[in-house]
Amino acid sequence: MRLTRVLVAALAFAWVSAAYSQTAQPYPNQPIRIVVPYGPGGATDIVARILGERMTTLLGQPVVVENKAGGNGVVAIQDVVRSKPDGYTLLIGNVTTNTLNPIIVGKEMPVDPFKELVPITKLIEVPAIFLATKVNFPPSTIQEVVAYAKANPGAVNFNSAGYLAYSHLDFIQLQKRTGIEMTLIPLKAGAGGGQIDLINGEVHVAIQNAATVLPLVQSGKLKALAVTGDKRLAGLPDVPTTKEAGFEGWGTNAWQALFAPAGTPQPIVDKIFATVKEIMISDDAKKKFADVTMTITLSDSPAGAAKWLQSERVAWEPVVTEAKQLAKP
Amino acid sequence: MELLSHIGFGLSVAAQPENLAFALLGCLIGTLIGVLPGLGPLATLSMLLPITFHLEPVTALIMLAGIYYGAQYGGSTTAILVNLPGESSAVVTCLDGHQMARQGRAGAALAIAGLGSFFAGTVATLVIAAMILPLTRLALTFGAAEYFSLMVLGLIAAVVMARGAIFKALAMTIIGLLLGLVGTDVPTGIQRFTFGSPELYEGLDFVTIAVGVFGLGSIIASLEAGEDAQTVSVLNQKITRLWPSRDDFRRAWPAVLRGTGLGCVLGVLPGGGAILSSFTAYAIERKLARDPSRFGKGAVEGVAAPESANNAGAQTSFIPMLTLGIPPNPVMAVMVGALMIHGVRPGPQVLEQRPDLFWGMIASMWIGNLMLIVINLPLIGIWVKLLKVPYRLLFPAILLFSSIGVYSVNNSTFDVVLAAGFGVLGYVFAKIGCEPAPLALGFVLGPMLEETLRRAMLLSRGDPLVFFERPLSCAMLITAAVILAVVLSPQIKRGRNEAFQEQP
Repeated sequence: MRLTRVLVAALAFAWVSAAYSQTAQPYPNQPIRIVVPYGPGGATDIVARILGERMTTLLGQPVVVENKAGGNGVVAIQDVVRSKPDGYTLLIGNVTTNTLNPIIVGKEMPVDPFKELVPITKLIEVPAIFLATKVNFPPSTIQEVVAYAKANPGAVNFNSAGYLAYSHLDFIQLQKRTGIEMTLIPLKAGAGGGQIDLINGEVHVAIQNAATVLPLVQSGKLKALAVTGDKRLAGLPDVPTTKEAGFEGWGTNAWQALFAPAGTPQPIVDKIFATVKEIMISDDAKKKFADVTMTITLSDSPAGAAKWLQSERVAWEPVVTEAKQLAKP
Repeated sequence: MELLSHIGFGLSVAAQPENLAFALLGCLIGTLIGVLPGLGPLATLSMLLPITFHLEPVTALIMLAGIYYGAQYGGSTTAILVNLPGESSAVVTCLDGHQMARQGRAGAALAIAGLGSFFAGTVATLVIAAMILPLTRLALTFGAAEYFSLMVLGLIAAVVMARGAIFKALAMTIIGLLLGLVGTDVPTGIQRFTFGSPELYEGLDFVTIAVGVFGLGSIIASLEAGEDAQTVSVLNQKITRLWPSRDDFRRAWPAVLRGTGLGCVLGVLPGGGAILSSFTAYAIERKLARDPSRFGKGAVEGVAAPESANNAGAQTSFIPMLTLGIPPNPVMAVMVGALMIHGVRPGPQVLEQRPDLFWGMIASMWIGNLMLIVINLPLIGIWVKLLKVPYRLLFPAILLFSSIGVYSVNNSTFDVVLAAGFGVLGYVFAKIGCEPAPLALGFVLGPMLEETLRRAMLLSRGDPLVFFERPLSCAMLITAAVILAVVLSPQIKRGRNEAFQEQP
């Protein structure tokens, strides 16, 4: 009898003190989860892990990266929005998972990432390279590709990983802009292997992120015709930007951004923002990301991030709607 | 001579104490997760990636690689002991390996698998060092048409390999193909059989199906049969011997040689290389055997050939990553990611700019294999004792680890529920006497078959002759046709039926 009472009292004390310490300790007082909407190893995962490791040091709590692939990010987004908006669950999303796919899927999305997630900050831009094979394909500028495709309608093959992925959208826009006709050789979403088809000449042109394909260009296995973004790449000083090549405004820079569930308290969002900012402006991070051809592009504040995401959405909506019409199977 | 100096240089890197220590750590972790049913190298690599942040890139890579082939070794242990393949390439090992275990020859099966893998690993290391550039060129000559023909050849081999009624094998292969259809249709983005759940958009996962159909299915069947039913439980068989007999060795070594050769070549091809090499190696042994009816009933060649093939293949699958920076499978993608986190961009320049990384990695493969054989041979005694654990204690453990394994693939409870569903299906298959192995092959190859067919047709603008115009593709299709003709010829058909009737 007495033993039970002592036990109950002890448990109650433990519970109260645990609850007390939860409220008294400032954020963060438990491990933080960063959900990545892809399997391990890709660009989004790399960003999450570099960031997570440094956040662990700065925040004094373990920051764990959790890979949750599926449904072009929908599975991960669902997981995050169902979690408590307390700053212990975050998401690293990218242009595909948090802008393109929600627009493409539209009303059938089981969750609305524009409404149920808030961006904390944009993190990274990954420039892409417009590539061509060195086998059986003479053109070495975008203009020459266009001329070649005009002379041989439908003969030029391009590949893209995933239906209406951003590189697919870029090619749809290029075809519309110049009136040429090219043939899509689709790849599974997020799949590697597209590079082999380019090296052996089955596919003639592609747009792929620089982080992955730069070594293949530098070693002469593939031709680089142009790079997206407004600056030339340090590793490819002779390759023009799309703008310099006469295609201003064409070609997507993929981005990654950090999100939290809507309703996360503003002080916590601000604290995460400040931590991430401290990490991203350090020389160490700059070098780390530059090494893998990623450009740090931080928002000025969480409010700025929200504005930027809205502008992304507005910019992509007409493009996707039109592409859906053009690419109808 | 250049080759020797390269290997020597590699060994000097790999034999540094720190690299040795992490290779050992990797091999131990790999063996452990390989043995635990359902836990695979991919989830482990992604969980352990943070550990490697503070290591030298070459050390990190050595440890991650150790986990990868350690898991290959460990995976065959689970396949042999409890009939549960952790990876698609271990499916075939179950066929004869588990039968050997039931006959009390688990020790022999494990030893042959280990020694065969070690031999294959040694040869593959030399092959990589000597022929990495020609093998890279081979990987590059494989276009969509060649892949398609290779898949056709593989599927035909699966049907040949199946024991029992050809009709059932065909039916299981087709069920596997159908399961492979689930997911997003690549060229159009249309959902197939996903029933509105985003968890299915990328298709079913192999581990979910394997744990369900192989693992849970056989647990249900065993429980129904009761503990004393000798036919379903390995546990009541007395263990005759721990070490392979002289006869086992005599039968195994030619199979190991053939398996190694096949694995070295097919491993280079991204995607289906690993599973194709083990299935094809098995099919070849069956065809060459004087008495094919022994297969599926504990033929030692049926363990030796696929195990050597998949270990050789696991190593040569590093080639596209090492020479081009192109990961041929998800595990390699994690390794590429790990290198990039270290600021090393994998690609053709690695060989020139970081020879320590390149040759150190290759040499460490052999050291890793040596460690694995040293770790695993003494463990055989322990594994075999594990079989004496009463089933009522063993099966909850299998169930628990399987569930954790399935969950860890994608951190998803949905997959665990799916695996349970496949468990029921596996039970039904066991009841009606259908082998799940052809299902696994159909499931893995089906989507690739479809994808490569459509790609090849897109590339040829709808001209099916492309499959015959390309010599490599044409040769493989002819081989497939010959195999099919041989199997369907009346004489052999009679032989097959007799073999089938022998079975209870």
